[in-house]
Amino acid sequence: MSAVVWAVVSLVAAFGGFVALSLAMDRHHEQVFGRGADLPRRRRWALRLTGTGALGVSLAASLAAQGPTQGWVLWCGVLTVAAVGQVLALTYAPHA
Amino acid sequence: MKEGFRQSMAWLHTWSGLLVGWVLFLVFVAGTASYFRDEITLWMKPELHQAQHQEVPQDVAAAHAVALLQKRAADSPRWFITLPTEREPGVRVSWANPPGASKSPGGRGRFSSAMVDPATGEEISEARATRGGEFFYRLHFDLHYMPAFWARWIVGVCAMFMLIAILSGIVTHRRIFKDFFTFRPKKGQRSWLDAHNATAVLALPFHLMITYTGLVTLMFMYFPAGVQAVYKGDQDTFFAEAFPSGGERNAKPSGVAAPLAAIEPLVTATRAHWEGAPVGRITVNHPNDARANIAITRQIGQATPSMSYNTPTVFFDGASGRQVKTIGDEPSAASETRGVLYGLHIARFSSPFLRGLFFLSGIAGCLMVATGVLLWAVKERQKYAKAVAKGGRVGFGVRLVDGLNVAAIGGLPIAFAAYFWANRLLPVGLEARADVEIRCFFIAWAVAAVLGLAWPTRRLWQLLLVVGGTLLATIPLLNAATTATHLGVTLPAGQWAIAGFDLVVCALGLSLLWAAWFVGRRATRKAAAPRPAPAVVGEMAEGVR
Repeated sequence: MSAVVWAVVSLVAAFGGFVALSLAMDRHHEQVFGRGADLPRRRRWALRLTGTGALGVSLAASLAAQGPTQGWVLWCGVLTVAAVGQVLALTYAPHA
Repeated sequence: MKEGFRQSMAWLHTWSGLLVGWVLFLVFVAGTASYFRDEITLWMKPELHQAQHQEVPQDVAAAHAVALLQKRAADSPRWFITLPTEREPGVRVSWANPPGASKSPGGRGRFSSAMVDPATGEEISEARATRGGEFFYRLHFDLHYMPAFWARWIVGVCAMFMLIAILSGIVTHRRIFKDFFTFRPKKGQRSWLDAHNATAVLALPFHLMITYTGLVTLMFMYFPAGVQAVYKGDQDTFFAEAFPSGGERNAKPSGVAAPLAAIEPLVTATRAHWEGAPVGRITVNHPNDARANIAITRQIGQATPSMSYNTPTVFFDGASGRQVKTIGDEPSAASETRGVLYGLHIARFSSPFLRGLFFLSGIAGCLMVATGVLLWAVKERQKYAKAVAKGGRVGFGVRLVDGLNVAAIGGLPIAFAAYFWANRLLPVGLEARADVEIRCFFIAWAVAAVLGLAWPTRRLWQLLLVVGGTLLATIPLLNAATTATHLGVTLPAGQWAIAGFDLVVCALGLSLLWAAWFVGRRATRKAAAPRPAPAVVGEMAEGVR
């Protein structure tokens, strides 16, 4: 696959990871599923594990896109853009 | 310490950030623009838009450049040839004018330059005179209208304050992980703080890297002691030994004429030595002399996997074409560390995608600085809430900061827009055209700044944002009216450098217009339901560019 495709994969994975990680937090879970929505312990841990795993996938994709040195630089940029995207989505995307 | 550690760090963060915030805003905006300095320059030279991007073998392109230089500057003491890259289609040649031809006060002979079509060897017709993106690049650390020496010290001091502000900010921010994804709009000071935190924390790797590496780029100026101790004040020898990519420029010509060796085999041999990595620049000292020497430097860019800004170089004897030596093949750890830090700052190695991420992170930096100085005014104003409700005034400090905020944050987009508009509207043959463009930048900014300092009101914020936003958002129309390469042509043709400029500038203009609309909406709401002490700068969310 070409470098750009891997970079996009990395971005998507990072965004997905941040979605999961933010939903594992009480404040954002309430934001999305409504006040009083329950966040059981097992689900919280599942979200955290999924999120961390997705960030790992994102790192791997970055390294595949840009090589073992520049890949880390790419990953930092990807994390920034993905996290900003998730902040804006939590604030402005319509939810329950 | 009377207060706790965190409180004293909060104090440090506030003042180290505020005192230099407006210079930092300029440095951040100009630096962010500089990531696309080649593309900005190309957009500002529409005469070159038609030039077809074609793959020409590097040895052929170099030979064409040498042929042109032999015709135009055979008696010059030094030639420079910059071969095409994926971002710049033409061969750039420049040469030192022979001594005696024209002397400038500093004793440095003036340079002339030309663009060469790599495929045909024809000189590309003269483009309009402009500094293009180079102006932003210089503005980023040399400022303008002042000696570069003082400007670099000013920028360096500001960068050091910035580094202090970032580190103390991390200590101050207690809820760095809890508030990681948090932005609460329409909540006044809370929203400003959230926006400041989000732009700072989410792009923190970039902010730390860019500030630290920025200081590294000028480290020999800020920390000269080591070099002075070893080289006894002889800086020139140090630079010649540490960065010898310019060739043996101190070698004296023999005065005996000798034809220059053919350049093609040298380029081919050099590329083979680097296992195929492309050539960046060729320097020829004393061409057509028996003691001519040639230095061939590796390209910094996407085609080379290294991040380092250090460039390996191969030296040749100019008359015989014999390889003399190579440097930089196995750089020392210290030199390579500096090279990589430098390279990270300039980001010349990056692919277009990564360059875009650098640009977005740079915008986050601009927003971080802008929201920081605005936050100070919003916070400080509350101390005067009661006084203002009784018809009193805010303190001098708040008024000054308000004025500087409008001048810097509201005015700078207008200055950028004025520079681009001037590039298209000034007559092409105008005397000292490049300087007039730059003057337009500063005149536009000065007008906005005087207005801002005189009336730092919500209405003026709105006015400046509308003016700046409109001028930037209509750039594609301006381009369509003044050139044949508008979006309708560049998009289907896939000329992404030109189309991208139009689209990005337009998007930035639209976000300024959105910010202006937001300011206006708050203003009418506040007027409809008068409450004590409406904050002048208001809660216009994070869209202030």
